[in-house]
Amino acid sequence: MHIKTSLRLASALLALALPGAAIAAQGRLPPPLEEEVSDVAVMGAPGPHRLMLAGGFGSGGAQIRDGEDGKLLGTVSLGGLANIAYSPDQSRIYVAETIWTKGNRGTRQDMISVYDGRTLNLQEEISLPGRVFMVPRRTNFSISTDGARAYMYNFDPSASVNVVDLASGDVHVVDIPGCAHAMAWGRTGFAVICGDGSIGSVDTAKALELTRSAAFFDAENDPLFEEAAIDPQAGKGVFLSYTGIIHEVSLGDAEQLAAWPIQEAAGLELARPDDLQLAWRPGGGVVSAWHHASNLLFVLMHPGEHWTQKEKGTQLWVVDLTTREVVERVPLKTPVTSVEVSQDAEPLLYLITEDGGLEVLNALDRSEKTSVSNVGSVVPVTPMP
Amino acid sequence: MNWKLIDSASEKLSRGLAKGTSRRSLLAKVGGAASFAPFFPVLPVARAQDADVPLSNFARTAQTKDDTQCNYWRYCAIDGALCTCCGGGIHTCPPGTEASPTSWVGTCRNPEDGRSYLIAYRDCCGASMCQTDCHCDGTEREMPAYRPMADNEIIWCFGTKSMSYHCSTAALVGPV
Repeated sequence: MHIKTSLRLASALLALALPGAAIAAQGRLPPPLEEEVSDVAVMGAPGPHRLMLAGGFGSGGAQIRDGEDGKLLGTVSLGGLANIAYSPDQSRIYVAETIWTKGNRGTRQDMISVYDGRTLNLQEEISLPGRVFMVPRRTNFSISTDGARAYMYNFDPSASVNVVDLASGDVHVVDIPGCAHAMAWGRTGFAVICGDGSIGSVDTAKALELTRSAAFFDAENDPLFEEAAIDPQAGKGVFLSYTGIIHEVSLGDAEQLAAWPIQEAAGLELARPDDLQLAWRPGGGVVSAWHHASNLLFVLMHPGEHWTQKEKGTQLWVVDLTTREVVERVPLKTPVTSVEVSQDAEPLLYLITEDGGLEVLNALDRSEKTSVSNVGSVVPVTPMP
Repeated sequence: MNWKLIDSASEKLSRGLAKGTSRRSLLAKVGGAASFAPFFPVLPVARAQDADVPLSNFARTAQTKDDTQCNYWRYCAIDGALCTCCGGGIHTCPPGTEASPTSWVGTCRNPEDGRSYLIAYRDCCGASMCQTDCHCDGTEREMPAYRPMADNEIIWCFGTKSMSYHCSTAALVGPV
């Protein structure tokens, strides 16, 4: 090969391999990359498909995710066995938590920590006289529909509810002997479940006294799951019993409206409170989710005997509460511990699987949208309109 | 004031009450069984001591030899880390922790004698949670928080210096 040809070829190859060198050779050097300034992200505008995932022991903070694609948008710190809730307009995130001044000892401090819903910056802390210290249940902490009050269940070991004025920080304690939880209804009320088989209700705009329904469920043999599905705007709750009886309850006047077995709605054998009967039964952590507008109830079901109430769901039953029909029984590839649904017109269904994954489905046709692995053993929390 | 003495006295009172209540419950059930025997030939009370009648899901596989396994007979309504795997014992808290004077309860069947016993599940408190694979969640007659004495999801560290949960024990109270 001629030497000049070889040089031209080598030069061309070098130019291909090192474009910068070629540009430099032609005198067109681009400006250097600019110095970066570290900053902090702010979450986008809130929406109905925001999802919070909060855990129990050793699960870190609450994950704020976009339900559409499962993407992690931010994290809110949680003290021991914390409860978490959105304000109705999502401008605030409330964390009810317990910490000690010296970690595992020292002075106990119970509080509601108030975070900005977009910056996730701490806004203020509201001291509580106490709060229940147990595996987090969503029905233990709730916000009134106007966002003015928080209700925190306390057990020390006598039972009460802290009624918290979120503007002033004032706390009023309402004793609820023999009862538990704190489920907000309307602007001023909260409801509790009682150990004698009744529901209790308090309207804080009136006297801070408990009104109780007549006993309507068998607390000894067929108790209600404490993770009830609540519509705070309508002041209504859907409570499932261990055998699968669906109790529809008006929370404001503490009155049972209807009760019917889920298996009957599916044309299957009813489950009895019987140690030995194998039947389809509800079970898991958060066992049901209610899409208020469509009146669909999503229930985690498994075949089992009585007292298998924490068994994970192997099927998701879709119940039309209006027609009282099970419209679909969706087989679940991986058993599911908890279920939740968004409250908009294009609802998303969130499933937490036993291996710590998140699966997102279209709630209306149950088509798969996305999934995320390793979110942990968490409880899903959605904004309440 | 001697709180230990008061605690001890109140525990004895509670135990006596628990035992008495259970006996009365049993009497009531036996009475009920006698009254309704012609209508309900298979009653839970009759079944409890009849080896030929099938047992509950937990009782069918319960064993009495290894208290580090979830199917150990006393664990029918336990929830949490087993103290037997954490340097403690079936009614003994591991070093450096404090036994809670409060408990939730369960009623478990001993497969060796066919009797049901009242079990007091007492948490050991004051240290970080025990790191072990021995995590169990027995759900037999386990109740929600509005029936707290049978709820295994509450941290039963009331009355201890620290509410920090470490592990759970299963102390035998007596036959029911």
